[in-house]
Amino acid sequence: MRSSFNAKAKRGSAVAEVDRGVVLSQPIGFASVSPLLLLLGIFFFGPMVALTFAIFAGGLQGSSGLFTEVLTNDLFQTVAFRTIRISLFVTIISVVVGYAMAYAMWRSPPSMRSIALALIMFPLFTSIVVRTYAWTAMFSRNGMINTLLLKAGLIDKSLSMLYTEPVVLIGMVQVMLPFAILPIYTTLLGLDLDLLRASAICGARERQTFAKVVLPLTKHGAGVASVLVFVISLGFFITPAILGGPQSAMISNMISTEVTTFYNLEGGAVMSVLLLIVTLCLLFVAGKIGSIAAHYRK
Amino acid sequence: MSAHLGSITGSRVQMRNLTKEYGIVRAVDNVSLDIEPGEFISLLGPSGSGKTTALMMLAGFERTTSGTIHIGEQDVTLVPPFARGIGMVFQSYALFPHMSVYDNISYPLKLRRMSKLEIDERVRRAMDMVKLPPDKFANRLPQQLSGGQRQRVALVRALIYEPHVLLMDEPMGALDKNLREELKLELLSLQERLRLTIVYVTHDQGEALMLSNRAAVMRDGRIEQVANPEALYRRPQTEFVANFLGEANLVPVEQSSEREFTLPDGQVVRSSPDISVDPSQSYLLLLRPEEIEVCAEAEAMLRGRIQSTVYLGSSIRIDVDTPIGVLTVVAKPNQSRRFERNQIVGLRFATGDAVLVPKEARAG
Amino acid sequence: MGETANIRRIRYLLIALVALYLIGPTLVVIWLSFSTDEVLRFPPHLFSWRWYEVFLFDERWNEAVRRSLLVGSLATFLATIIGSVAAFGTARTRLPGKQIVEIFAIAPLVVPPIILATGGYSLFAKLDMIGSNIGLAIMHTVLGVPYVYLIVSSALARTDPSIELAALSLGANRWRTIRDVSIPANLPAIITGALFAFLISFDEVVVTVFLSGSLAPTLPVRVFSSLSLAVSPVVAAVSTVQIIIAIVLMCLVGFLQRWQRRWAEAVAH
Repeated sequence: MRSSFNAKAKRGSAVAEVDRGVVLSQPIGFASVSPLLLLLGIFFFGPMVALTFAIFAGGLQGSSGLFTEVLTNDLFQTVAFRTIRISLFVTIISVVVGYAMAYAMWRSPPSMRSIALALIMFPLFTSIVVRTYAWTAMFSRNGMINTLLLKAGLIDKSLSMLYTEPVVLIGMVQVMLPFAILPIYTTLLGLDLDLLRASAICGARERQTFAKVVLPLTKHGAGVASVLVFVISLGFFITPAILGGPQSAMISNMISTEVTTFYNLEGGAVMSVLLLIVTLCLLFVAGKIGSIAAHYRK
Repeated sequence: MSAHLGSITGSRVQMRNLTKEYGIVRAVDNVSLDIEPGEFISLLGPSGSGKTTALMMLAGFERTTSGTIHIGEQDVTLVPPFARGIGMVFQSYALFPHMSVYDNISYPLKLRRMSKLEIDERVRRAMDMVKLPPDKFANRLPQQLSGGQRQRVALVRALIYEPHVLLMDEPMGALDKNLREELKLELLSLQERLRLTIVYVTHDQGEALMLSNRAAVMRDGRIEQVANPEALYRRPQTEFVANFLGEANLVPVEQSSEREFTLPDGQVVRSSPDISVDPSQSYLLLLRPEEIEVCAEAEAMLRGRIQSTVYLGSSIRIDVDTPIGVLTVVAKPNQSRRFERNQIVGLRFATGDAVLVPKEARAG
Repeated sequence: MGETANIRRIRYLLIALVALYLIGPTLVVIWLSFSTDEVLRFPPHLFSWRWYEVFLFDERWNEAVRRSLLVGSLATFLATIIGSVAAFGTARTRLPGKQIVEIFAIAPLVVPPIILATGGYSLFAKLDMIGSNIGLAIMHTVLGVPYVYLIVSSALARTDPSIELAALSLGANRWRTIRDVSIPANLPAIITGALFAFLISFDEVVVTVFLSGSLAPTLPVRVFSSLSLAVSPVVAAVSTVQIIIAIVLMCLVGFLQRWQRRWAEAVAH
């Protein structure tokens, strides 16, 4: 949705202004966007800037002290490392499976495409809490998987699967998969079918066309999807909280505990600012990849 | 390119009762066409006439609903596109945007596992042939080329592996007029040298008449007429073909004897002997604008009032209201003769050897 | 393009497996919600409405639903108006720095919610507004406004501007044109944006946990915190209700999209 909107907007500005329909005066334009800017400025950017500022305002000495304290903290290091590891796995699995799924959908007839699309959209409308709860019903001691394994005689005592990293991964990938599939599928839909026909008529089998034409032309789309999945994964809260427990807490869970349980707003703020900086850097990278991809578009 | 591509000889292409259905729509309806080896044939028709679908089936991109396709001796109806060994130039050129000109052209050779050395030699020679010097163009991306250059790269890519059949889908569609003329001539000389079979899809009748040995005029998924350009223009067999190729005056006539037909004003024309006439069918007399001559009123067969004139440079197009209907005439203007609205002019045309086309039954 | 039946079979198998993974567990929850058991077990003993009755008649669940609806409607109202007005403003004026507005509007989608939560917490703690419905609704507005802005903007970019020019040429002034042409033509998109804003608020947990203080939590937060305690089948019943709401909203969004497209097409021809 984003990219098509951008493309439209750009094409629109290239065309004469008359093609824009009603054109309102500039003061009215400012007036119309100012509530949005005020809302986000005061309640979104304001507090983030204030937090960052408060940390650095204590003098470089004080601020570096705070940062050093957090960065050298054993628990923080463990959690940060775990967050990166889990996010990385989630990204790899989501993008690989997501690419395969998007490709399978793209090669299917229209009726199959719309069914698959509806099945992918459905989770986006369902609450994450509900979906995570569903996994606890699957993996708990008297849950569905243990029951099935016991019945099949593969185990004789139910396993404790909840609160382990693999289960967190399964839950997170389920949430992130649509975010990987949809942009890759959109990129595939943007491919000129004549390019594939040209490749086939040159003598390439489907496998060769995929490797030499489809993949090179969609890898940037997959790259942007990877960065987005990774960024969103870094900030996960609900899934690790429910499926992971304290042993598999991620950075958001740690920040939450610091602030709401220990009332350590400063420590929470420092970690939030670190997370924010990493997020912004990664989004910048995604933007760069996106603009390279735009180069290939017709 | 002929240096080593000279060995190409075209294959015979045969379509037998080819049909393509999308749901209840018949995009191509029982089309049969024999294309001779080395022939340049156009599939000509308005959009939606099924010409592109027919080409897509030839290439193997569309499955046939029924019917067969033979290339050479081989039945290729179920052969996938990559194994048909034909070349194709697309309307959008379909150059791979992530590959350089060199990589685009060498792509089919790499797929054929040719040695690097041989690929290099062939690509460079081919690029020279089409006036794209390799040292200047090899590393460019398609986006950095002009329309005409892209077109030539697309052509070279389609020919580099020496296919026996070349399919072209409106390849001039995206070019401006001057470039189009130039490329038409290039294409003709290429065809002369290579003698490969070319199937050319277009909706532009001028292009089809100029380039092809024969053209198949398509309409609603069927072939209306297949013939050489002159026959199509001079002896169209249907009202649709008469109208689609150039401008046509079609005058209703009544059959009075075996070969004689009466015009609405009572004058009589004789049909040419090679036109067979079905007595139960109504006919129209075909008069091409350039076949009608403007003359002095004394020598005229018909007199009429000029309705409008359009100045075309070397000629002038005049609509004349006559007793047999409004006729479009193309005349040469000169100093002694001027044409103005409401002027009365005399017209004449040959009355022997008249071309008659069956009048189409119209619904309602 | 000449693929074998085997490839097709593998393709459909992949689509089926991914679909099963994405929605299978959710369907199991619906099954569980009709259990007669006190605790979660497999397979559940069927069939009873008892957990739905608990959900309907338990005062704590009712309070959570009321709070969710109150905060949700307030946030939806604010987000829809602020987001749509800004979308019209950027689409229909020659405003310098449109990109900045866009970056502002999209930022809450990509910044981790925990950062919003920490920031909001520090701000509202100073204002002594922890636990206030207004504060919560404002933060939910921040989270919902990007959806409204993006959906309405993209609809406006797709709308044929000539219908507006036609209205202007027929003598309507700019305000009348916007009121009589632009807004009705994009109403489906505005309603879609509103639905998304509501859905976001109705599902939000992280920011809400930080800001709800000692007051009764919203519905998703109540579900969330009951999960860390004993997992009772009542959660399955609550979840089923939420799933049904999700299905209804999804169908509604699909219908609205078709409506919007039909209008756009009717205009184009």
